[in-house]
Amino acid sequence: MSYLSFRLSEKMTAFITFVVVLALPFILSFNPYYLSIFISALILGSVSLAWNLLAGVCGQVSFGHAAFFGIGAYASALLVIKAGLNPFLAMVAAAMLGVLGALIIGIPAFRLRGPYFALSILGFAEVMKLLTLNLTRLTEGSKGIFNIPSLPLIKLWGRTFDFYISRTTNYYLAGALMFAIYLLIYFLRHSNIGLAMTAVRGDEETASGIGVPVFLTKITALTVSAFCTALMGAFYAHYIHFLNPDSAFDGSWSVMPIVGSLFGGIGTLIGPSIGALVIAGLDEFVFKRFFETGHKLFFGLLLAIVIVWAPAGLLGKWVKKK
Amino acid sequence: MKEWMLSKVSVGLVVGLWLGTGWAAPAIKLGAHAPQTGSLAKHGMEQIKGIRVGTEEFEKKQKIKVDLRVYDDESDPQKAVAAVEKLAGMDKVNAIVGGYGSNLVGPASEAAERYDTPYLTTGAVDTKLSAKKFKNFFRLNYMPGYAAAQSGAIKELFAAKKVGVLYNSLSATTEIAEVVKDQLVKAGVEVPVFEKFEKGTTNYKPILLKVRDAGCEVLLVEGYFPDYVGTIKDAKILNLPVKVYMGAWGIGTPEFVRELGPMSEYIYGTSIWEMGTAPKEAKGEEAEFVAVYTAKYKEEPSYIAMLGYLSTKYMLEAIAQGGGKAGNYTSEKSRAALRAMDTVGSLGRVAFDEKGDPRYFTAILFQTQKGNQVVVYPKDRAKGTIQFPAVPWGGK
Amino acid sequence: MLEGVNYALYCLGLAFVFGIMRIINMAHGEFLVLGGYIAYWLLVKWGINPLLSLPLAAALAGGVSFLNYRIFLQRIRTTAELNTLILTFGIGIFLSNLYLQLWSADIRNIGVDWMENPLRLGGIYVSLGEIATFAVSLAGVLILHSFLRRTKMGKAIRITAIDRDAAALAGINVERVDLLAFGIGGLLAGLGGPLLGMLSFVSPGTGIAITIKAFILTVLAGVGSIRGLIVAGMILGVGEAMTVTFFSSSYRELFGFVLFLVILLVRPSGLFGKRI
Repeated sequence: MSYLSFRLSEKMTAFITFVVVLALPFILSFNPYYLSIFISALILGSVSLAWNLLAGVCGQVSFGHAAFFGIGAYASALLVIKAGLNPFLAMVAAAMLGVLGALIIGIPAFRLRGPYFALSILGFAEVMKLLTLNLTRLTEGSKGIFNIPSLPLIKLWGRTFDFYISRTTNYYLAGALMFAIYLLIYFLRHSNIGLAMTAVRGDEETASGIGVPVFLTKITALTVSAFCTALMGAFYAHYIHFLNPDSAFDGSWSVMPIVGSLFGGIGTLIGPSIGALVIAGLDEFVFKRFFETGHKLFFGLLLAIVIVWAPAGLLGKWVKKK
Repeated sequence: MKEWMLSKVSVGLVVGLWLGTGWAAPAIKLGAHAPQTGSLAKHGMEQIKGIRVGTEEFEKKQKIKVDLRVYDDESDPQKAVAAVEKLAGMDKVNAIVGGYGSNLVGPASEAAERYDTPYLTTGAVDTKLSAKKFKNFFRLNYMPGYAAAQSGAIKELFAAKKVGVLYNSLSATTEIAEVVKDQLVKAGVEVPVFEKFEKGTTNYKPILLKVRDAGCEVLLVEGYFPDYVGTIKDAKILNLPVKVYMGAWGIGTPEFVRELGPMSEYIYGTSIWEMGTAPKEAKGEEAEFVAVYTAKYKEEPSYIAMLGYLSTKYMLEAIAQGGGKAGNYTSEKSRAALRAMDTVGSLGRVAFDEKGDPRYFTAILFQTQKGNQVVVYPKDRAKGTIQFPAVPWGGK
Repeated sequence: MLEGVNYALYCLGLAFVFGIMRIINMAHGEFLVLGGYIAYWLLVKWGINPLLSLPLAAALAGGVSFLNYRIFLQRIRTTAELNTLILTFGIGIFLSNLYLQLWSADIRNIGVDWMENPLRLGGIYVSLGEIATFAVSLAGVLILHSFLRRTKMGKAIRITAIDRDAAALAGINVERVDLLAFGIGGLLAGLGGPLLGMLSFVSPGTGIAITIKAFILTVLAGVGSIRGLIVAGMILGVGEAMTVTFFSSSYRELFGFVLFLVILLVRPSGLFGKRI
């Protein structure tokens, strides 16, 4: 396949993916149960896209994206409950706080090489979880925050969109967020910064040699990635209406995007979300049928197998270093 | 010839079935969700076992068929919501039981409310869960009942003046610690040491030393099994001079006695129910349940299983009562029947208030004596007397 | 404080593998836990004293680790470092869920009566068990040290760690060394498991916590120094105890991480390591 047709087919794939996302509720007859499953899948898909920007495009693997997810979730919930902010605004504000978190850990941590960096983000995620557990006056600690208000009604085009009852509205919002994130990443990738990121992924020294501002590039990738992840965390909070440190900073939010991205194709732009959607579906509709308990096993195994035998995932091209 | 036989047989079958089954009313659809995988799997599975026994017993006694659907929520809030949506939205069950863990029950009960389906749980004690006053939310047990057993005993049985409280940072243990502290302080008992520890702590000596230095007579540990093991071990090493060691849940179980051996002696714990602790009026029910459960699962039921069983029993009875012979099972009628309920079961007296909380629920306190759990408080349920002052490592 | 030496042992395997092969084994904790489970079941089923089952647990863990390397890791040795990281990560997840499946979420404590007996040394309270585990850890560390210094195999490993090409030129079968090193890493991990089980407990979730702690210590100590690990272990142990005494128990874990982040940022080569 020539380079050009690969590119075209990736855009096509993205297009097809979003058409499917759009059409899915109709296919499923708006059944709330199925929609719930796919809302979770969309959240995961979005975080996978964000993770992939940092890891697949810029080459910096993070093991602790749960940190940003949790920050977004708690920040948004607290802003609404304690400061009375409008949930939509709170979501954006929370995403900005995610950026702040990224800067706090990123600026120091980027001085380290790959594996060290990955693990320092993991450490950061654990620290955030511990802080959330301990600053009980602010966060209610392990008791958790109950009854988080959902997004308020929107009146548009003569119709009312409610987020509390309707699964469909939440589904389309999640889908819209994923689409927005994809667009953001797409344009970033196709800009100068995107080129810089690819260069950094290839070889940092060479990139720096040809004048790429390595540090700035990496920070940009991290902050955008954190912004998107935190945004989805905030959405999650207003969707589930309940938070506690364990579920908000759960290791799954760090692990599953990796699995999804690998499966779908690290380095491609749409691959990670496809990967996430597929495995979420597989998990609920296939694995659970056969293995009532222990179906999480598969994810570990899947990860191991994919990376050894199919590192390119379903779709992608992963450039090998050395 | 064959056709004639076949038709005769089939008619005979139909008639036989119709007569033989003789259901008293149309079938009830009951839904249940619980964690069967993930971190809470152990508890969820116990619950489901009790629920299954509950449905079978109900079918036998009331002669009404129950269509039970059980879904795994994987200890994940999102899946819990999905499970309720499947049950209430697709399967259109008449009510939902189950649910373990406040972070699962919270979102799940909310989903049930959206579908206007009665939801009776035994797995979530956090007081905030009933704060929203969902009309469909009911539960058999909640936090203040446990705390009352502890603080009551401390005040009345031990007449202690100073209590050291160590609590696990997880939500349920934190909550009970805070409620107990509140109750104690209001009753004039000092709590000079109120220390939180993380799940997974292995060295409790520093905080135990604080308890010793403050001169506490009672050591109250709100935690789980590993916390008890750790604190008892460390207390032994320090030869902690307290008169009483009291824990919260999970004390005195066969596993507890087995793992700790002689170190389990004299330890106090709370319980909702253990074998033989049912009030007089419910002894028959208790014995029956235990027998059926043991026969079916080849092991004795835990209190979680008993709770699952009772919640199922009460829920099904309420539905049947509300619907009458015609089987007109609506949520409204079921809820009304539940609210009107006032009965005495293996748990004690059961009735629900407007928020769905159990009006009369108190836990019982027992002391482990010679490997057995002897109920010592409240007085009207007590079977034995306390051995006081006493701690397994000698104390003084 | 005694815990410090134990900590050192727990992370020895990780540090070893990382130092020799530059692989961070994210599944390290899982091997440790495996050793713990083996000792637990040996005790429960056949009443074997955990101290005796130590070598068996270690050997089994080492064996599994060896196989793990052979089947998975060897294939991607030549690709990006991060691939191996993700691979070991995936294996770790697989293993911990496997334990959950096989042995349930219950927490296992390896308790042997005589270990509970307390001793008073001056103003310090310890139990016999703590002393025993301390002794074993110390022995383990010393044995490894002399293995690396005295035996031919040990020396081969050290040379490979310093310069692979030179080692290959000198006729050392570098691939074999890798296999062995990884196996030893698993063995060391397996050794720590029963000890952990005796001091506190093991459960499917323990693995990742151990891996994280081990990584913190490795970074703290710096690559390539066993002595450094012991000191680092002690620092961590003492630091944690002090945090509990002066602040509150809930901040205990925080101490480790904060220290970790500080070291990573200020002196990435660790307290004793060679400069990166």
